[in-house]
Amino acid sequence: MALARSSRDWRNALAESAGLAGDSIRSQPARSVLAILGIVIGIVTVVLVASILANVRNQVALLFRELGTENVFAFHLTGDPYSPPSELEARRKPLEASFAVELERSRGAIREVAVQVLVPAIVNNRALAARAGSRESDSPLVEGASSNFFEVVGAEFAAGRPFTELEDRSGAHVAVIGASLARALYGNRRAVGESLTLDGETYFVVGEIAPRKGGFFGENRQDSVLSLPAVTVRKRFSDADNVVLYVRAQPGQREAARAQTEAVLRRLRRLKAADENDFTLSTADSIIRSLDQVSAGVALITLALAAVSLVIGGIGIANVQVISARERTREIGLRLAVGAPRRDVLTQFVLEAAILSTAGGLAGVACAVGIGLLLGLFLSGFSAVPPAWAVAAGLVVSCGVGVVAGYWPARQASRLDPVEALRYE
Amino acid sequence: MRRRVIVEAIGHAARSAVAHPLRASLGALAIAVAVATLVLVVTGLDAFAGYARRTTARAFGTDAFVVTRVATGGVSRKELAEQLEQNGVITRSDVRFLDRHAGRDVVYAPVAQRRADVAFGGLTFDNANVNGTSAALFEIREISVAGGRFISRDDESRAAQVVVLGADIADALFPSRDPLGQVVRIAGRGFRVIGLQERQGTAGGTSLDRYVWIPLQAFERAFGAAADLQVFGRAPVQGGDRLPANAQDDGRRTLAGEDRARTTMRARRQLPPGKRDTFDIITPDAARGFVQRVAERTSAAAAPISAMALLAAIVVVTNTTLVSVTERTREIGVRRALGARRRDITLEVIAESCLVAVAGGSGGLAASAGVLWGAGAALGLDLPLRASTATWSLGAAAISGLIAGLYPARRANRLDVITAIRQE
Repeated sequence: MALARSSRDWRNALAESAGLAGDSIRSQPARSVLAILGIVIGIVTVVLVASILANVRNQVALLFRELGTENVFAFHLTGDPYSPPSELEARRKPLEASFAVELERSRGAIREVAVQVLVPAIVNNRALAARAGSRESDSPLVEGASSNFFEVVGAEFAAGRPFTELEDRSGAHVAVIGASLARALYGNRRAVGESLTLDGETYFVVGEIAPRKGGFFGENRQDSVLSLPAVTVRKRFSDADNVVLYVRAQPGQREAARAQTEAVLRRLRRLKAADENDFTLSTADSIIRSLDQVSAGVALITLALAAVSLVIGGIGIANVQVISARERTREIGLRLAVGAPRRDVLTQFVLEAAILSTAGGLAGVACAVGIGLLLGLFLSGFSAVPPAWAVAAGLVVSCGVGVVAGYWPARQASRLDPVEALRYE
Repeated sequence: MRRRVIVEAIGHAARSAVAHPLRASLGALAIAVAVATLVLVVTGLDAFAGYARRTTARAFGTDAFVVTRVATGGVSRKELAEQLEQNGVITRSDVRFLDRHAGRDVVYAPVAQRRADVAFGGLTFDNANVNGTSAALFEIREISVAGGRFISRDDESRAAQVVVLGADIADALFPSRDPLGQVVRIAGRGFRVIGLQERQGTAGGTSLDRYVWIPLQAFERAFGAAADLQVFGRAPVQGGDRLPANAQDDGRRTLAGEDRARTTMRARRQLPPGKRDTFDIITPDAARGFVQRVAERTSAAAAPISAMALLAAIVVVTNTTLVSVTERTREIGVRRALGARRRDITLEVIAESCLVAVAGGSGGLAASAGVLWGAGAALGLDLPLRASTATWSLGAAAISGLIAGLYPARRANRLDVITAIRQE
């Protein structure tokens, strides 16, 4: 019973306070609008920053997911395969393409293994450039790929086909190219069936890969890829000895495949029981996890910086409440004199502040979404919808800011001496 | 006359702010928080840039430059490839030529580098960065030696089998005894330890203490003649004074040294005017470029976010000033009726908001100075609050006050005198 009554009281108090808050907003529109505006600025900053952070993170995550979430990647170094090795790992020998056969032969959780051979950007002191007629691209990402590579990473073909096994084994002069490279070399013409020259040799384009979805600030190096059969690359480019193995697991058995890969590679590398692995295994998830760990600090600092605006918005609310409480001293005195409990006065002022700031929060989220939509027009792949947690947190925090900011003025008001208050001019 | 008006306006403004201390102080608090944020962000970025400068100086020498075949980093792949195609390697005879034509503008030290293991007893340090060089490098790179000495001219001319060890290597090979005078093995040859380099720490995650210094000729005996040398250069230090008092003068001498190196190399390669250099000169500034870019990007993100805080603070001050105008409607009406001009009222309102903002800005500045001092003491960091930062942050506060005062001032001077006086 008591609970029911108190909840009804609560609802009455809420309705009454909302009415009073509405009155005070109507009587002092400029002041209330400015107080709300302070919160709006705070929320827009926080939500927008969160939105941008989430977007960058998702795009980067997608970049790695596109390499296949069920795959285990094996490489002899830790970190970015295109960076020079760290001093501690400089001695490690690259993995060999023949390991792929051994890994596939071990069966178990491993479904198939694809080979990627990385070709350095500069070969024989010359930057690799791809040419087709008068057009040139001086930044193709040249790599060798086994015939099953495109299937293992789940690459979508816009046109054409992957290499055949025969093409790979015979070292044929065929190429599969990314969307940006196709545009650079052939414009709007169909790339498949055309030819290109690279380092003095001619290759026929047999496939074009659809544009990738992920990216870092809208850029995805994979779109400039120029894939040749792995055997062709080993014949043509003697410097290209960095091999990445893509181990595709049986459905749902990625961790088992990882353990199995580790065991097979340790055997192939002739490591003793006490030796550490001289290679690194990773998965899309593990790469994303470690990136998240690195970026968490940055994200936290950025959000904290953004939250300063919100704090200042809160100060604005507190300010308006202080003024409003003073102006209504007589009213409060009267209410107290006719028997209103002090708690009611407190509740009224706190609720008023909370209503103001929540209104600001709602308007702020709306503004942030609007600005996000605008950004989405200019940045491809930018999702305008802010992350749900940012919206929820923004609203909860804005309401909380109102409660915190409103509490002190409210307490001052509720502690007024009715006699003094009534005498107040 | 004009000054009296302004002084009077400020007086009125101050009285109005003092009469409502709570309201004014909340406005000031908002500005204080925003200004403190700005100052902390800027000083933090400054400190980061300073840290980067110090680490590059440690890895490089403050006024040194390097003549090299190709400098990597900071150029596109295409440029890099072009340079690789055109630039010739730096040979020992290039170094001799440079030395012969050094004059009094510059001293040189050639460096050949490779990775090799360093062993002592049963212990091996893998992949140390072995440098063959001359005695002059000591001065050029300001190498600090913690014990013993650096390679001398005598070691150099005798091609002595001596070595100066980096701190990581000394720690690893001599966990419990003094390395000085011991003989370590590099590429199968014995080298007597004559000096220990002072601990350098890390730069960008890589240890700077994995270095080993041996005379260039001993290096060539162990590894064969290096295909490509780097030549460190520096304007000679006058009078044995390692830190010249006049930094500007020092900068000019560094440039003169670099210039001399460039013209000498161009003469050596017989490059006609108009043809580009077929070698590269790396300066500490260029090496610092990367760090600078990171700092710039960070501030590009941090600046607008901090600016939003200031914007929110402006809104708060606008509000307090607006309330103040509303409360003084009658007073303003009476004063207008007694002959005060609209301009006087405008000035007074803006003075009030500026006063609140500058007071807040000063408070925020003081608070951030306190935080910086505390953080500096607690973390052992050097976090100087620069005078320029302090000045412009106060300037930003004043401008915020000005902007915040505009709307309330307009409201105030648009008041109708009769209605204003009639108001309760």
